[in-house]
Amino acid sequence: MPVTSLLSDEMLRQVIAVGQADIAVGIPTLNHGGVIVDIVDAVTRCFRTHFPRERAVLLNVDGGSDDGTPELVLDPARDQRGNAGGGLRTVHRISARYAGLVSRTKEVQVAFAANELINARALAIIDPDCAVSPDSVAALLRPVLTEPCDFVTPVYARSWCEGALVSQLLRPVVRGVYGRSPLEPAAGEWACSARFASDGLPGELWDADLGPAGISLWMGTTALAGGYEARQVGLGLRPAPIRAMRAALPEVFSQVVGALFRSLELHAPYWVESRPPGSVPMIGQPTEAADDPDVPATEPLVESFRAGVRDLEPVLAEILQAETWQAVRALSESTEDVPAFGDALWSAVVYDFAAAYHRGAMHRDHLTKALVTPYLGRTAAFLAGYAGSPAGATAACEALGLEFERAKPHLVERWNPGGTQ
Amino acid sequence: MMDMIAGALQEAWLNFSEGFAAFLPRLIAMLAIVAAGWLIAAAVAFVVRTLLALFRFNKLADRTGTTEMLKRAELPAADRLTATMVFWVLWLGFLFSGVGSLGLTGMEQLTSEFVHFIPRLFVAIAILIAGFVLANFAWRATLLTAVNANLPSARLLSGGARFLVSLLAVAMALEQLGIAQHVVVTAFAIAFGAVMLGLAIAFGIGGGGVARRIVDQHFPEKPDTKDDDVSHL
Repeated sequence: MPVTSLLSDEMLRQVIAVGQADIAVGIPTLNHGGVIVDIVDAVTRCFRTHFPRERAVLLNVDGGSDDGTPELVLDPARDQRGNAGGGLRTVHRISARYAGLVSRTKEVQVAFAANELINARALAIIDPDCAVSPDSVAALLRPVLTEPCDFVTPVYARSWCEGALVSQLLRPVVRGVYGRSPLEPAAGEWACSARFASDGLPGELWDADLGPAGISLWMGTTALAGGYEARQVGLGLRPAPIRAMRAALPEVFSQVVGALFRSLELHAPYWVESRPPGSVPMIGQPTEAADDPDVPATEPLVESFRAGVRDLEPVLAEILQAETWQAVRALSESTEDVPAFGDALWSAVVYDFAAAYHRGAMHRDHLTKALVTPYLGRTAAFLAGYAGSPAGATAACEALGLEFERAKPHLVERWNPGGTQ
Repeated sequence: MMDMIAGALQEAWLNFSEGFAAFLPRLIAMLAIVAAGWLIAAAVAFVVRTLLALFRFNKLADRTGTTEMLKRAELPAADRLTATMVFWVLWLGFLFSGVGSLGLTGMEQLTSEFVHFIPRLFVAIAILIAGFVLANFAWRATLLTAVNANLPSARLLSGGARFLVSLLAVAMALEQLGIAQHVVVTAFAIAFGAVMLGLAIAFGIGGGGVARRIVDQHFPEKPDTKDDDVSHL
């Protein structure tokens, strides 16, 4: 698909007016009028303070806001507020809506297409639902400019019980299957090189609505499988959402776990071969999080797990292998306050789901949403297991990653039962 | 007297001989049509089954839940069932055509009716298959939604969704076939209406609290109400 066909006439006009650039920051928006001013100011200050000599572009891809978001981005008054750090060059701002259905995936694709024309060496994508600082944007962009690096993900200081979906599912699967994983494989903000963006334009998943986390996951796994240089950079405490946009858990699973399983399919030629485990190089040191967090109550999770396993029996029995299903059912019927959902069983469950997704055992959206129930059981076990001694939680996450690595042959065998790709 | 009897017998024999001589070729033609039809139907069924296997029709049936339903009904696999249906439709067509060639009174009309019935039969089968696929999809979607929303009686809700969609498909298929058309339509309308009215009354009387909880859950006063305290992402 030609790059220009992805851009609206308005976007193309503004991109042509800008010409060439060195760095760009893409901000996908949809009715973010209440927060966009602070984000634009932070990005502008980042450009002026950290990259005063670079030609910089702020690229707002709007999904059709009716609250004046594009006008706020282009407001000339922003020049005054963001000019505090000086700067030798004009900071260009582009804001236009795109054609087609509204989706975050489409917005990132349009940002890639625009970057193809302005030829910026480094492109950062910012999640407008979370606060950003000039320093955090600069930290994402800098490795792409200064190092042989194509993809940068952030590392946040988080307490051990935050981000259970990341620590219990996404990170271990990516590590187990691809041999290494960034600590935050589904962060809403990340940066990439011009080469990565250009290569990624003909990607297979642009038509899917993956959400911010799903896109990040797809991009990160693409970097790992495509042989791109990946880095992770510590950004301190994870910014709190500045807009109440909490999607329901089944929808999160549909987007994020769907993106994970789709990525496994796309990259199967890479990972079915045995690869030595490694790590994604870290730039700087991650900040330590508060070590005394409020541990969420596990009773609602356990109740949902038990009721879900009982009600979803025909669905889970179709997805899981017989012995895995028997073990999950026995676990749900155990008399323990919190059933001990162990690493080995959890990895078998997740890999069975991935294989069932690949063989098309059922409608894919149904399959990803069916994983919510086992996930709640596993999360409850994890939280209950380390509520009294959080020091062991980090080691437990490491052990979980090793278990997924160890169980990878189980996935390969189920993925490709005939022995041919 | 004897001459008259002999003459009558001779005439009857002659009539029989002439009639048999005229009927024999038609009988042979009929047997040939039926035998050739059997061979052709078997060959076409074989080709259909091979093509379905080539295009992994059974895998599609697995994904849509058709295989599961066929198993429950103790029917063969989807590709074999389709091939068998093709065989019987074709062979019955040849059979009626062969019997029609005998020139028996009424057979032409019967053959014509059968030929006109075939498209309706196929449409009815298509409606049934689509209906069962849709019913299975609705069942699983309802089940997952209800379970993930922590709704009580998730299996009852999803089973009800599957039953209603299946009922609708069967009624539509029977109407298409013209089998007890008025009875089927009337019975379906009464049954469907009764179920819906019953559900509405039962929910209105006994489920007011549940309705309130559902509305509160989906339209909370505070937009950031959480189902649990866990930070997932």
